[in-house]
Amino acid sequence: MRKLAISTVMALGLTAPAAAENILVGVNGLVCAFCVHGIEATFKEQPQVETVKVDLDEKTVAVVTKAKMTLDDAAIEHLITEAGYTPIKICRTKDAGRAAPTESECKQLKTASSTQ
Amino acid sequence: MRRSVAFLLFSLSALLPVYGKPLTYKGGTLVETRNNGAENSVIVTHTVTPRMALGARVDYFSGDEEWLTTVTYSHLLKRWNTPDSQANVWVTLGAGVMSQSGDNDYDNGGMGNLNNDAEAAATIGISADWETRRWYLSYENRFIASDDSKFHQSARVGVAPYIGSYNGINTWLMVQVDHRPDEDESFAVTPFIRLYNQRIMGEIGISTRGDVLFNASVQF
Repeated sequence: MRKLAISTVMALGLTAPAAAENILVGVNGLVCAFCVHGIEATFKEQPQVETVKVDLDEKTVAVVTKAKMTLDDAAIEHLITEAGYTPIKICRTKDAGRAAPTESECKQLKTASSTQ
Repeated sequence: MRRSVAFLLFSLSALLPVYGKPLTYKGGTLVETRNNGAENSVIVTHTVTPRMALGARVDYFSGDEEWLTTVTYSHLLKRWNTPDSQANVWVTLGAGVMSQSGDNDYDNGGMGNLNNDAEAAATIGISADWETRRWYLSYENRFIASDDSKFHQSARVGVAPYIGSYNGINTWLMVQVDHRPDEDESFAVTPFIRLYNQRIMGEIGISTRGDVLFNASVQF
């Protein structure tokens, strides 16, 4: 009976929703607030993206995906490059309680080139 | 008519925000107006790919009372992104029509009189910039090939008195040097202030010749 109740709850989707993903992208070339509007606009067009925030001091772009959604590394590299910048690292965490991933959760992009 | 169009350009310049870069981001559109003692311009540019933009541009040259209307193609030749700076080099090509305003514009009840002797014109220009969050340098030139060919080049240097945030108002103090070899007084120096917030930018200053510089741009 108890197993049945748990199964029913899960089937109805009443369990906690899958966590959104916090993604932090290190970016070269982030120097002009007027110019980086393009990064926000580009990411906001993506259906997986809940919020995007550019930090010129940290030279990062913070993306929070919608629940159960993600953006893979190739897509992120593509979007940053399309906006005119160079991604140098991508960090991820699914721990919604944390504001940002830690350094150990980062992946350096070996393919990143600083010239286009 | 000429006054009406000039007023329209000025009105647009009051509404529209200046950018200087011919490309923004893929899918982005930039509307820009540039106004100084020598010319008034309205420029619309749509970035098709990260390296290429198409646009349209209307210039009025007050000295020669000429209008130039062109379609433009801009290509990013090279971009350098570093942790603390970005630098770019572009080339912009244009093709269109040059026409001259008549000297007796107001003989017909103030309605103006545009001559119909429009002629084909082509343009080519190189622009480059380098900027950090504190310093700014840029250079651009433009050659207009027509019966009355023109050449203009300008350079800018700027400094930000404080490091602005993405969401705040950013302020830059700048100096622009213009060189128009066709004019009697071929050099002009214009100190000006640049202000922008996210996607809207405005610039205002006054040159050593006493001409007002007013530029504005907005990106969509």
